[in-house]
Amino acid sequence: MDYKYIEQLLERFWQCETSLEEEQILRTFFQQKEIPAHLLSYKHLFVYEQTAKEVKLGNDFDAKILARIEKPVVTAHHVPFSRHLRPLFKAAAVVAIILSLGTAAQRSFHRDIETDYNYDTYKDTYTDPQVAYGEISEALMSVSESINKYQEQYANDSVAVAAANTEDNSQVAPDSIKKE
Amino acid sequence: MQEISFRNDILPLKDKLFRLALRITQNSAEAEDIVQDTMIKVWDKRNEWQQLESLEAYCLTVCRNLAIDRSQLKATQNEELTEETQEKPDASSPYEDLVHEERMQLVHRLFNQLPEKQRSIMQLRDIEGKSYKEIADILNLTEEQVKVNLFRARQRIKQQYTKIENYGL
Amino acid sequence: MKRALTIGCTIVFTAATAMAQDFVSRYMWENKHDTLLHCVSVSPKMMEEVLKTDAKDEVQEEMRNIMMDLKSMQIVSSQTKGDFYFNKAEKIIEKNINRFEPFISFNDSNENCRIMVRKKEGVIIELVMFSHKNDHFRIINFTGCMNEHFIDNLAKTMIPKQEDKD
Repeated sequence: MDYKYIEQLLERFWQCETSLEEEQILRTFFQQKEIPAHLLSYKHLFVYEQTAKEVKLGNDFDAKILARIEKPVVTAHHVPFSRHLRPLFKAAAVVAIILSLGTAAQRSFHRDIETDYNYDTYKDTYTDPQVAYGEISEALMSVSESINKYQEQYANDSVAVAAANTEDNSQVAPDSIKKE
Repeated sequence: MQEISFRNDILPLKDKLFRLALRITQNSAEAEDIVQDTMIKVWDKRNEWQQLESLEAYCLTVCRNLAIDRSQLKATQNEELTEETQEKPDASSPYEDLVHEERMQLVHRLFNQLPEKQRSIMQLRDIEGKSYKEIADILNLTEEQVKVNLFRARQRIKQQYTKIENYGL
Repeated sequence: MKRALTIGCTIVFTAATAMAQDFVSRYMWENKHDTLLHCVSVSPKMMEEVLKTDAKDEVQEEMRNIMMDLKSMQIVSSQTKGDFYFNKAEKIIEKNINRFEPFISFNDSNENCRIMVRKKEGVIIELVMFSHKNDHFRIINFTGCMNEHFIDNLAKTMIPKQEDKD
């Protein structure tokens, strides 16, 4: 039997170039009993992935969760005073819903932030990823250096400000503590 | 618009959520708690279900965040484990089942030693069969980032596995 | 004829710029005839390739983790007229005050530096640093999805060596 196709798929799998269907083909292939020796070593990964899908919760889970969800919510009819407050509660609930809707909306949009940049104009300067890597890390380091430099300055400033404040508050502070 | 119900639409996600939580916490009792908390949290937000683009993605996001919060609470131990597996010699057993069992354990360990992001991405892609887009939505990443993380995860498993296998045999 | 061409070009360019431009693209467009400026680009495609290469050690691994939040990079530099180019960059920022917010800014005796960020829903999608030092000028421009952790990690992992200061 010719395993060229599987070998090719495997190679592309490691490069993350396979589609979901192709990945399933690999998993199915490795389920078979007879695997040629040179491919055998990868068998366990795919078999593992297949079996890991079988992990399940215990049977009592449904009952537990439904009990928690479907339990009675309010028991407040003994307190007549609350009846007076009901409109207030309603208003508060509306506000709460609006607020949480707002944050939920924010959060759900947050999940797919699209950068709208037009990358078509980018002409890659480098063809070798290693060289590009060097350039990017150098740039990152420069940014890092600036952040650190700034933080250092800022820390010094706030120490100076703090020192100046103590000077204000305590009469015995010597003149020498001054903002530089 | 279709009516969403807890029993029909959310409860069936339990195993998927459990597997993700388990992958992150590596503790099944804890993972079960997390699935419960996830579902309660999602239930509390039932007013918003209709607005969600994908209820499943939303549940998985909530679940992952809860799992990460929990593991961060008891953190630390996991980080240092990397060396250990490499030392464990793989005594090759004459019995195929045993070898098989051992190898499966090994893959399991390698898998679980990946950094959380890579681990979750590999879980969602290779075990749950999710597309890059879906994973990106769940983890709040770009598709490129998902791909790159997955690439690193697969490479790492491949390297470690071959390394150990070569020593063992 | 020449004029028609200019108008045509302008229309094409404005159409192109209607889609969001990152800072460097804008800067280079405004200075397109300037031969002193040197521009280096790493496209999203190349960024992906870079991340696929193997890390050689811990430092590289750390660096890659940071790079994972990046999508592209562009750098503009000039060896002279640092002051002049720096002011030009500030002008663009002034004109786009709603787009960028200041992140860091400092003026040393020998260096001016600004870092501006563009945020979308709390996440930094573009980071621009431009600096002017010893008459040299440089803009570093990243796009991607950079959250607070990114900045923290960046600052932490690359604390500069103190020895050769000044």
